[in-house]
Amino acid sequence: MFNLISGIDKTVFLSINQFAGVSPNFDRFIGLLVNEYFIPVSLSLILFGFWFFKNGESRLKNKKAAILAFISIIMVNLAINLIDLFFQRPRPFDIMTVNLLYYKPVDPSFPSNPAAVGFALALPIFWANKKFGIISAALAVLFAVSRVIAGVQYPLDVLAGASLGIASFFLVLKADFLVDPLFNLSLKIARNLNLA
Amino acid sequence: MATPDFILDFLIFSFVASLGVLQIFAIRGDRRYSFFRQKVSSTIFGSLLLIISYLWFFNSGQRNVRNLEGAELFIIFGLGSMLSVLVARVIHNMRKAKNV
Repeated sequence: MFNLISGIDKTVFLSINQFAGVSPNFDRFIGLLVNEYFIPVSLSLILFGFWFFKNGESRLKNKKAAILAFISIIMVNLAINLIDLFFQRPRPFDIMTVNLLYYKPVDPSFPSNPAAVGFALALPIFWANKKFGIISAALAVLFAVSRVIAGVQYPLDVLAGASLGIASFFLVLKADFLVDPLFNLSLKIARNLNLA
Repeated sequence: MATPDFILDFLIFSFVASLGVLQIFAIRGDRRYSFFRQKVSSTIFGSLLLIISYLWFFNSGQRNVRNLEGAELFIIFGLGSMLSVLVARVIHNMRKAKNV
């Protein structure tokens, strides 16, 4: 069963990775999307802006989105570190010839950390504001897909990473006992610093 | 291993981009961080800062290399954005004092 899933995953990977190395402009575009700065920083900037956005009824919700994202990211990182202890999948470039558009990461391929972080950042934005949320979700999807096109991760890795990011957000959303004290504390500190 | 040049570049990028975002959002919310009184001026100025920061950062060097790791990225981004909040508040107060 594992071999069958792994085989399908490799076939899908090769069919997506074949788009790399065809057009220099497309490669440059993927090179921009795949790196650790462009999309994660863009999503973080939206959350940062939300802190100062609207003095109406959504004001607190916007601020809470930043706290939800922060806890979700801690959770996905803990989960990924735990998975890495038991299962270490080699990167595609370690076992076959691929069109590589990125440097060779040294951590295990499964699950995709960038995909998990992308979704853990995008979902709180979607929760607080649908308009920005749609843009953020699209960026998270592009971030995940670009990892496969760039040849650094398998489709299953990014699917697992995205699922982890989504699950982590919903768990955090339900965990009022954890989020509310942290949110109230952050708000208190922010008010003392004249930031809220 | 993070290089000092890269850290500085990322700090400047985080600072300028955060300042831009702050100008776009604060005029629609917490106006204590706005440089301008009009939405249009604030949005145009903020967007310019944002575009310039992205263009500069992604065109001034090779960014697809192993350098800053997750936690380092978070700390430097946090530092840059906090600095932008401080600078925005100071400039807002200076402009307000001048106008009074």
